[in-house]
Amino acid sequence: MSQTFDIKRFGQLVLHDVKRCSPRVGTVGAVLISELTFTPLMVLSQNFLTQDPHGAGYRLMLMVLMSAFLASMMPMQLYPNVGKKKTGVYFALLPASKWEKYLSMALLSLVLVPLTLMVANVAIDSLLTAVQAPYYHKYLWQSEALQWIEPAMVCNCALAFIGPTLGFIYANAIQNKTCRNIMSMVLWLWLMGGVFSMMILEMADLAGMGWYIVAAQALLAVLMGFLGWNKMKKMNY
Amino acid sequence: MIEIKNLDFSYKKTSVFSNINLSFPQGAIYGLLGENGVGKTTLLKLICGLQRPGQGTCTVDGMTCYDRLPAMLQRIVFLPDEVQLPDNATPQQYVNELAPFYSTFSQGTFLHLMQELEVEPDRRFKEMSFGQQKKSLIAASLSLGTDYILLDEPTNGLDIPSKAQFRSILSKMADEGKTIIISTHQVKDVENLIDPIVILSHNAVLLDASVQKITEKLFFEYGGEVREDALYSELLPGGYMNVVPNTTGEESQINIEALFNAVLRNKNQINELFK
Repeated sequence: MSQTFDIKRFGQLVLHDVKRCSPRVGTVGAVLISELTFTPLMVLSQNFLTQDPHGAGYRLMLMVLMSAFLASMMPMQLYPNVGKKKTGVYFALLPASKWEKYLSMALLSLVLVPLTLMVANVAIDSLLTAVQAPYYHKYLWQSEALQWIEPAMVCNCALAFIGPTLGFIYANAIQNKTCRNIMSMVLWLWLMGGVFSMMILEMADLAGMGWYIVAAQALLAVLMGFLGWNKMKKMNY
Repeated sequence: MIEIKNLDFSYKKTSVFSNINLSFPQGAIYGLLGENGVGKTTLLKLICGLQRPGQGTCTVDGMTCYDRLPAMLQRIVFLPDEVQLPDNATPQQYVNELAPFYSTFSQGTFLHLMQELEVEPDRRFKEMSFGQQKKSLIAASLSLGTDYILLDEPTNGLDIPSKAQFRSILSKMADEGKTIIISTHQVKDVENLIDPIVILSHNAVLLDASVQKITEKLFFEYGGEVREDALYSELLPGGYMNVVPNTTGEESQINIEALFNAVLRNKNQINELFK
């Protein structure tokens, strides 16, 4: 059996992590509920104010923003004890490789949680559209907004989520509380800046710079991934 | 076997170990003793890979501890003095989470140990006292079936009957060939259990010897007057207890507290005696 990566052991670890995180499902649920209520409320208020019946694009944008914002918080919710001396021992001594532990964290934070949020979002939005709730006239995938979404915008949004999320995994492993808090603040700024970067660039008439921002965010995301993995590898308790 | 070779370790600028060598062959209960802050817990953490040695090596069955390889982690369990448990979980849920990673885990052993220690496996941790939590953790750790069991102050918080049960459980484990290392200040709790005894001092190992070797080299005399050649004397009900070099080859009953004090006060002499 490989001491670096074994698929069976990795599967057990992911299952273990999901179970171990289940007491925190309450937090995840609260986040989900707040998102699910926030988005329809925003849609209703926006449509009420502007009397615009075509809100699918607006809903889509809100969902992406809220999902990225909330999903990136998840590593802090799901793995708050990894870097702490008293509680991290359990994690460190679990018989799985360091690489598997890091991958499991990344999988949960980058894939499973955002996927759950997205599926829940789309499901509730579709349900509201199906029952013809006020201002829910079109399904998300029928939105005209999909036509003007640019690849650079999608990449920017994705990286504005992936980078800070990897950064939060790294921040969790930082044992000094002040450093961890400063790091978290920087990551929030990145998340905000990254998500809104295209909008800011459009306003400044610099939309052509979109791919440069993508490249910069991709580099930073790789750096965060490397730092997080390196920290995890060299963790002392 | 656990092997520590030429190991240096320090916390920032404070040196804890300097060039120490120790080995823990399988099938014994080692007592790790030392004053506060000499590095007993640190040594256990180095063995299970939670700390990185500055210099030298620390291996378990040939695997470098700090690599924390799954094969190494499957063979070792560490029960720290303080553990933060998931409040809402029960001991049964706790072992259920761990069990898939240990092919040697035995549910039967877990339930048997829980029964012996008189703790309910389906009661939540938050509804338990500190002692009950500790007993649950001991049962969970020992039921994993690992070859090496590292216990840091395991008897803290245990009531008197539980201490006796704990000793009997560990004796059985040692008979099965497990290697157990107990770091403790509560030497009375493990007095007839630990053999060999390792005494640590700042930066060094003062003593690493079996009880047989200790009684060959030292004589523990009870109920007399203070002797001039005593390495350590203490007034007990019924007279003085003296720890003296064993010049006659006579056997005596070891007193670990007295041994500890004798070793601490006569480092050079003990070193010469046990060379």
